[in-house]
This record gives sequence, structure tokens and C-alpha cells, in this order.
Amino acid sequence: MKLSASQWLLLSPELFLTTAGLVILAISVFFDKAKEEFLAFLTILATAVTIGLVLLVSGQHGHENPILGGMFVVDNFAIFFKLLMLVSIVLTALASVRFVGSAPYPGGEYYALLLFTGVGMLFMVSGNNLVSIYVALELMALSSYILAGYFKGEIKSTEAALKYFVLGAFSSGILLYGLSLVYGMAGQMGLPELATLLAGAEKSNLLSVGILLILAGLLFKIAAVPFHVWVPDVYEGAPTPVTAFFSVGPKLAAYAILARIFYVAFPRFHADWSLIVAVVSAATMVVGNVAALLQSNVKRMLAYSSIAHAGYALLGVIGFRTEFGLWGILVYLLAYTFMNFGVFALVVFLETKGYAAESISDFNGLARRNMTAAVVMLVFLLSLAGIPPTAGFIGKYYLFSAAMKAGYAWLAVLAVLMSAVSIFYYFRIAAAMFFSEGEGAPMRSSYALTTAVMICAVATVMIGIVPQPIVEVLRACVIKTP
Amino acid sequence: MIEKEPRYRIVARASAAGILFPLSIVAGYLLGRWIGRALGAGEWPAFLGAALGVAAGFWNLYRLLRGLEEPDARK
Repeated sequence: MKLSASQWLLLSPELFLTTAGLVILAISVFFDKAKEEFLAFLTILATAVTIGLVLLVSGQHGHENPILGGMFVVDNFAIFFKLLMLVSIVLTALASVRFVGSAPYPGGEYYALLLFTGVGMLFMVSGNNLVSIYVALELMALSSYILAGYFKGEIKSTEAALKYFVLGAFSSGILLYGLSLVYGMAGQMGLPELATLLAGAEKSNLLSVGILLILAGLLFKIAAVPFHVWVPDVYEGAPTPVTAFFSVGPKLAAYAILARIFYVAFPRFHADWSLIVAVVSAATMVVGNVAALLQSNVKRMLAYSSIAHAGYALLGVIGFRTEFGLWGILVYLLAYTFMNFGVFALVVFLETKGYAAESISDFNGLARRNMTAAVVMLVFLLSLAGIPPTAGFIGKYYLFSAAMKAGYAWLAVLAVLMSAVSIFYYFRIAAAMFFSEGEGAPMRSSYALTTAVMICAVATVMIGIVPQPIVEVLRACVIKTP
Repeated sequence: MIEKEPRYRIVARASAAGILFPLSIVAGYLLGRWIGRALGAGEWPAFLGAALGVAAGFWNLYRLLRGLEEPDARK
């Protein structure tokens, strides 16, 4: 298969990021003295160049035409996700500088794995074929498992990695089983070809079971009930900057392929799978929010919070056939990336060796010690709760509208009620920061971490105050088919 | 003092979880299909059974992993 120069350009972000990861790995192997700060700088620089390449690709005429035999597509939908994922990698690298520098493990591995995870995510969102999507997903997942166990001398970190690996392998097996059943029944792997073929085909049990298993595999990746149990353990055990990354990066990729597969390939089965997704969404919102109420460990609370947010985002999947469905998911994920990463980045502020800020009491009296940090944290918490005028409110507005328009008013009402429940646990942190007299964990700030937090804060506020231009840009990123 | 579990028992438990995982999906599907046919409810109970089988297999694996945790790390 011969590629033209313009087709090579479409692949350039992935190729460049892969090369950058290998170079960083080589530098850390051959130059023992390479400072972790320098490797972090290289990672951020490489990711920034990749962002530039993605923007260059987006301006190229005909960039939305599939290449590599139809397996790889760079439409506006993929470009949106690529940019958001690359920003999440930059934020993670910024949040990791002090933490990796103080850890007794090589930083080169850490940053290279971060970039390799990014490569997997970039290929995933451009996947237009079940096989290319699966291979990219595995590249992302394998790098993520190792990142979770980066603190290899600490039992919590290694156990988190083991759990993530075993349960992740389970979900990959389920997904692969589903893919093979669909291929066995349809004889096609390309998503547009599957859509054409299945549009006129009779429904069969095996095909339906295949779609069900694909859905189950993807629900694991986005941490929806009943496949959510790994999240609190992995988020608690993994180093906090890695947790921050897990809460946004791989989730973005999973939502992207969930949307692409079910929106492009299986629209004919929408009535069948949307009912299952509605039940899962309701259970995910209830379990996530109620379990978060019971937590005293901040990372576990935020883990359950992110489970609840997975339930909200599924409202957009249910409303795929409405105007707000896929559009709402894009708006919500944009807001979610910044507000959720911001919260985790502020948890990193309050820790010393990766695990210190574990309890809500660590936030005691933060407003007395650093009013700016406390106010910024409050903004993130308000946004996560969906209170206007923050980004979270805008995202939820679009998702709840999608559920209403799809005829799931009861689900939208449940989502509003669960958002009200979430205010209780988010405000436990706020109360500790502003009203508690106790002594909290010491703050260990750095310029890099402060930059990451400020980027998230500005984005969260801007999306909330002036949503219209941003939302209109995202409308153009919705997949054009079917 | 906490006694360590013999390795063969850990291997046996892990193998059992590995076998139960696909079995639970197949069993759920077949049971659902039988119920659907017995009640004349069509095919949806079969899919519900398969979905419950997937969930059960997943939970069983998670329970196994929790059981293998070091007691000190468990909170």
C-alpha cells in the first residue's frame, strides 16, 4: 500500500509522538544523568508539536477521507478528541514534574509510557475498522497498566496495576469476543461497511450477542456499572498524576470509540442497545453518587464521582438520534476534562510522596493557608456538581436535553436528582477548606503544577461564561454519518 | 501471625475464575433463552441473561483479586 505525501501528513501526529516516546526512552537509557525536569520538558514539547501537526492536518483539504484501506480516518470528530487528549497529556506531564523528580524510579520510562498511551489513544479515535480500533486500544491499555504500577516498590501501586491488568484483560477478551461474533455474522470489519450491510440484514441472535459483548467491553473502559469496581482501587493505588490522567485521557478515547462504533456501525440496532444503555446509565449515576457520599478518602470519592459522570455522559449515547446526542457528549467531555483534571491536580498539591493527600481532613483550613488554591478548588467542585455558570453546567445541560429529546425524561429527572446528591459530597471538601479549624496536609506547589491547575481553571470558567462560540465549533465535530 | 495461602490453592482459585468467566456468559444466555421460550417472551430474556452472565463473570474475577490482596494493603 503506497501512501501519498498528503496521506503521510495525516499519519504524522501518531508517527511523531511514537518517535518522541522512543527518543525519550533512549535518552533515559543512555544518559543516566538526564534530569527528570528535562524529560518532562521534552514530553511537553513533543506533545505541543503533535498538537501543531493535528491542527495542520485539520486544515488540509480532504482530510476526512479514510486512508490505509479505510482503516484510518481523520475527520473533525477525531481531530477534536486528538486535541483534547494531547492537552490532557500536557497537563499530566506538568502535574508530574515534581512528583516524578522525587520518586526513586526512572522518569524516562514514565514519560515514554505516557506518550505511548497517547499514541494508542490517537490511533483509537481515528480507527474506522474494528481491528484497527482493537489494536490501538490494546496499545493504550498496556501502557496504562504499567503506568498504574509506576511505584513498583509500593504494594498499593503494584496491586492497582495488577487489578487494572487482570480486569482490563477480561474486558478486552469480552470486546474481542463481541468483535469476532459480529465479524462472523457480517463478514466485515469496516464500520461504514458494517452499517451498509446491517441496514438491510435480518436481526440474528448471535449478532445481537456480539453487539452486547462489544458494549460490555467498552462499558468497562468508561467505568460504568456493573464494570466499575476496578476504578476506586486503581485510582487510589496509582500515583495521583497518573490517576488524574486515567480519569480523563483513556476515558476520552473510550467514549470516542463507543460513539464511533455505535453511531456509525450499529444505528439500526439503536432501539435494542439504547434501552440497555439507559438502565446502565441510571445504575451508574445512582451507584457512583451514593458510594461517593460514603467515602472519606478523597481519591476514592473522586473515583466514584468519575463513575457518576460516566453515567451522565451515557445520556448522550442514548440520545444519538437527537440533535444534542453526540454533540452533547463532545461539549460534556470538553468540560469534564478540565474540571476533573483540575480537581486531581489540586490533590497533587497536597501530597508529598504520591499518597499523602488521602483524607478529606487533608484539605482542612486550606483557605487560611492559600486562598487562591481554595477558591480554584471550589470552582472545580461547583463545575463537577453542575452549578452555573461553570463548564459542568453547560455540559450537563446538553446531555440532559439529549435524554429528554430521546424520550427518556425519567432518566433526565434522575440525573438532575443525582446532581443534587453530588453537591453534598463535593461540599464536604469545600467545608473542610473554608470552615474547618484543623490542620491539613502541607502544600507542595511547583510552577509546572500551578500552570496545569490554572489552565484547567481558566478553561472551566471560560466554557461556563462564554459557551456559545465553543459549542458551535463542537457542532462541526459531530460525525456526519449515518 | 498471618499464614500465607499455599500457592496451589491460589492457582486453583485463579483457574476456577478463568473457567467460570466464559461459563457464566454461556449459562446466562442459555438460561435466559429457556425462560424466554417457556414464557413466550421472545429473545430478550436471552440477552438479559447473557448481560447478567458478563456482569457475574466480572464480579467473580474482582472478588478473586480482592481475595489475593495483601492484608496490610486492604483498608
